[in-house]
Amino acid sequence: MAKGMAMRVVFLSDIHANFPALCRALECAQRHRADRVICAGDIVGHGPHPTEVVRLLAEQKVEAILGNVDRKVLGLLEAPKKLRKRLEKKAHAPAAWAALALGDAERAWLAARPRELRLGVGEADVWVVHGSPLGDTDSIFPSITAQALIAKVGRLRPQLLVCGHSHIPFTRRIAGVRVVNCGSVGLPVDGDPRGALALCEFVGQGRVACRILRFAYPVEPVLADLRSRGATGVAADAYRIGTTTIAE
Amino acid sequence: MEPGSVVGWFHLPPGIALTSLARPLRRAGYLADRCAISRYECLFLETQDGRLAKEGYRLSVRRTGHQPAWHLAGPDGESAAPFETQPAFRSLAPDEAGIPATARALAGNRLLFPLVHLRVFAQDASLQGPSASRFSVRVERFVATPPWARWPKGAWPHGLLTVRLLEGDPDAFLHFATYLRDRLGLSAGAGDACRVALHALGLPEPGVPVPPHLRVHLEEVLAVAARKVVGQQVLKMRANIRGALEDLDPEYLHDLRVATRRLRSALRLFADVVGPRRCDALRAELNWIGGLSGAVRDLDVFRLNLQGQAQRLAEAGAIAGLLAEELGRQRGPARDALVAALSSRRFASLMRRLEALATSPPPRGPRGAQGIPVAAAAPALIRKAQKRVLRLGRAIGPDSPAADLHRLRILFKRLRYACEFFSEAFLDPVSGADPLADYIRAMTRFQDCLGEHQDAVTAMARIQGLATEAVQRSVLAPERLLDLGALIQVQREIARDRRERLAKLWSRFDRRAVRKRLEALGGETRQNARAGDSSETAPA
Repeated sequence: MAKGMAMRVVFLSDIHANFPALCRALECAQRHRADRVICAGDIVGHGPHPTEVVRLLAEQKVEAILGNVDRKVLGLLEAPKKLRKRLEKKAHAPAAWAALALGDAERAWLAARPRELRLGVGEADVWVVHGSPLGDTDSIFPSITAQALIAKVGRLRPQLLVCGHSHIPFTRRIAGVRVVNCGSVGLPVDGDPRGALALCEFVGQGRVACRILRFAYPVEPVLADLRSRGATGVAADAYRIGTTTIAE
Repeated sequence: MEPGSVVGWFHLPPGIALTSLARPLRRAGYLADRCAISRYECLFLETQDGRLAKEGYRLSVRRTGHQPAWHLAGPDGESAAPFETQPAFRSLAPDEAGIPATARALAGNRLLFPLVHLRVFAQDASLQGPSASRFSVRVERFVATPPWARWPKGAWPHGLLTVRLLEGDPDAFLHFATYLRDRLGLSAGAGDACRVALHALGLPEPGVPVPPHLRVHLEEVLAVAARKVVGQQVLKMRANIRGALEDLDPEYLHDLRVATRRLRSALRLFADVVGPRRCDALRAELNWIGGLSGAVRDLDVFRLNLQGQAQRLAEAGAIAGLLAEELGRQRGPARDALVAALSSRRFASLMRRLEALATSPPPRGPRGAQGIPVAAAAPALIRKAQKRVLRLGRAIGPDSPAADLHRLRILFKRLRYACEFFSEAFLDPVSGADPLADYIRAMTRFQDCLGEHQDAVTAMARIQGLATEAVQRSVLAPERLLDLGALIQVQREIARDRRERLAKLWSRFDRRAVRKRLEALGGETRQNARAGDSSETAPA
């Protein structure tokens, strides 16, 4: 970043093993001259490309935290003998498939990710979580009230709170905190099948300008790979029309 | 799946070399070793029906320096042998010296023809994948030309990346292919360099299956399916015109004639869907070209049959040679007429009209039969054709005239073509089972028997005609008339034998079980289509 210029950070979340979408997201970040890319969890699970996604994030040195699905995948890997049986159970099948598909190097990279990130960008204090500060299965929706947000954040009041998990992107200023939900890169559920990410511009003195960006990606290769690789868990229409109830 | 057999092809945009690919791949964990560079010219060869390619082999004459060599690439690797043939050839017999034994065995008794000529600059390397996998990678930049044309000037326009899994799990190949497709933006290629070159030059590839965009599907309406069927046959006609014009192999003419016949049958079957007036006009033109090609082909078939029979009748060898000479004399004018027709503006216009029909958009608001899905329409069309066959077939007895048997043969052909037009649509998507396969097989046997009977009847008349002509021109000695009689007797015996076989073959075809299966076809497929629709829309 040149001296005196605003720092641009792209936050993305819920890739869900969708490699073409991640490629387009990173291209979008590059096009907007992002200085850093940070992923707010749910890297694998449900999609057909867990290995490729992890390798690309590692290759691009993207900072990432774990989501609830990543945690579930890593949890399943602790009992590898039961993985094949888990594939037959609907509730565990997507995570079990991802666990089986991941190689050793990818597992190690994923296991080394933290649960949350606290960082200072410029003069702003940024808190990156997957669901909410309460946990990675809790969600922050656009309709959240100031009272509810204070209950979730507690005494810590960052300038910017970044989350994902709900797959519904938004940016709002609530109770003095800029809240950004990055939506989902690989499996949007807000009726727009395009992937979503958040571009935040840190202009100095703790001030942050945020906007949600949408990008199109080729859906048919994902569906073809879902079929050919036998990945389970998401209806094909979810990718085409951008609606499903995926958040766990 | 053997690791070596997992192969993928990708188009390479201009300006991309192996070195520029290696850098992004290294960052993703794929490490390339030193690359080997080669530069050569190669001429690919293939039989008329693409026997080598069907088994995954490519035979070529490759010239790296001054010395050309045979080169065979296939699932079991690559091999080379010295080239000892005359450099300029129109076709080669597979027993030609130096042709690798595998290619010789695959080609059988068919001639090998030059397909396409390539100048190639190739880079080869092997890649170590991040998950205990190894790939061989080949980047080819090439320029292509038809075997009869000169090399084009300018840049080498085609680029191809070939990836082969050498060691490791097929999943590793999928990961690598996904990386190349989505991260490096390389689109999947149609096939190897030979196929890419043929596509780019607009040349037909022998023996290739129906391209995906012309495959008939159950759920599409008849107006779309009819255009696809016409498109398939037009493609087959196009693939055989050059071979028939140059008289490279009798099979070119045979395939051209069969495609013409199928087109006529398709236009009759889909007349209500495509438009009766348009179909009638096209069928009249196809009749014209079918008649001319039939005249040459019938002489070829007769000559082949005669040679076979003369070998069995030692005393008739001389007369068979005389007849073959006479046939050759007749073939000349018939072939000249065919060549003139195939090179005429009338034929070019016919092909254009057929292609316009095949590529025309289906009507927006399909009416009547046009809007019925194939799943419902095809069984009805097949049943209609079957009813005609059964009506005539049941009326035929051991003493029926040959004309009735010929009529039955024509009806059988129409029924068989109707089944074949739709057979791919009825394939089971999971097991690949073809519910019409047994039915078509039973029909083919009966039809072949009828064909041999008809050939024998025609041959008798033709031998008599030839004999009369030869006697009038005093080129036949009177003592040879007995040999002619022996040949006619052979035809009569063949005709009698085929008539006797017919009853048995008919009983295999006209069975309640076969009819039931055909009746069930519509119901089952409609149910499957409905089940398929509901599973597509059901939430997971």
